[in-house]
Amino acid sequence: MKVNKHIDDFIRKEKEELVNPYLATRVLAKLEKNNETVVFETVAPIWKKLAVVVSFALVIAVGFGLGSMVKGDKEYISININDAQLENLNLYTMIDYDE
Amino acid sequence: MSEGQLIEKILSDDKEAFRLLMERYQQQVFRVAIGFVHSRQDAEDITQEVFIRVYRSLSSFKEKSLFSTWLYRITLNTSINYINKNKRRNLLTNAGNSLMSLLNKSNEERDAHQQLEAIEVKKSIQKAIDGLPEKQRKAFILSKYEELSQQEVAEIMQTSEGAVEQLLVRANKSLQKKLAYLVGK
Repeated sequence: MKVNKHIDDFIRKEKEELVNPYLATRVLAKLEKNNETVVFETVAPIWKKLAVVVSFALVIAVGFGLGSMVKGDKEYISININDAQLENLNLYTMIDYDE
Repeated sequence: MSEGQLIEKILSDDKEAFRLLMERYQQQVFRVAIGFVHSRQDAEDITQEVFIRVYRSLSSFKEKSLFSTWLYRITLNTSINYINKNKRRNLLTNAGNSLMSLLNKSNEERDAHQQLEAIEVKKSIQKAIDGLPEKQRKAFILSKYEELSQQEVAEIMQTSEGAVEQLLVRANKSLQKKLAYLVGK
């Protein structure tokens, strides 16, 4: 209980402190100095989001466009995909046993 | 003039309406701030910063909660940011204060001794409150400095009443434990 009393006394003393009566004037002066007005954030974010989406779409479209513009002689390397030619199937067909 | 009318006027760039709003709420912002920083100067800096933030973001206040709830949230965040930003400076100040109290200890007058003891008690309580985890500290300050109900604290901290109750119980236990040695004083 004694601890609580110490804490309550401490808090009571801090609560007795009064704010500087000129604080509001100081804040207003600071706002005036920076020439600030209330910023309306309700409209801005929509335009920001829209601008980001449009710029992404533009970048993708430009990428596709540039990609399809590229023409020219292309050299293809032929790849053998016939398995029969790749390995000897006789190894697995037990032909030797039959003979 | 109601809060809604004031806000409407501020949004149409009426600076005098903003002055009225500040005068209405500055003491409660200052009280919460002093609960965090325990210094008049720092609490005034925080109060000033809070109202500048309020002015800049008032248009985003959707009136889903009370204006005071929104203001308390800004105050809590600004105070925590301020403390984190000034941690190094506070360490130096505390070191300076400790040195001063050591030097003062050479004074053997009874009054000075009692005064010193009172300062020590004050510093211990301050340190114990500052040492609470962030959420417990927020709940403790809102409850003790602003005498808000658990429901109001829960709304400001965007949590349940049960959680606030737990935070307050833990904060009190922690303070009792840290300050147990004061019982003999």
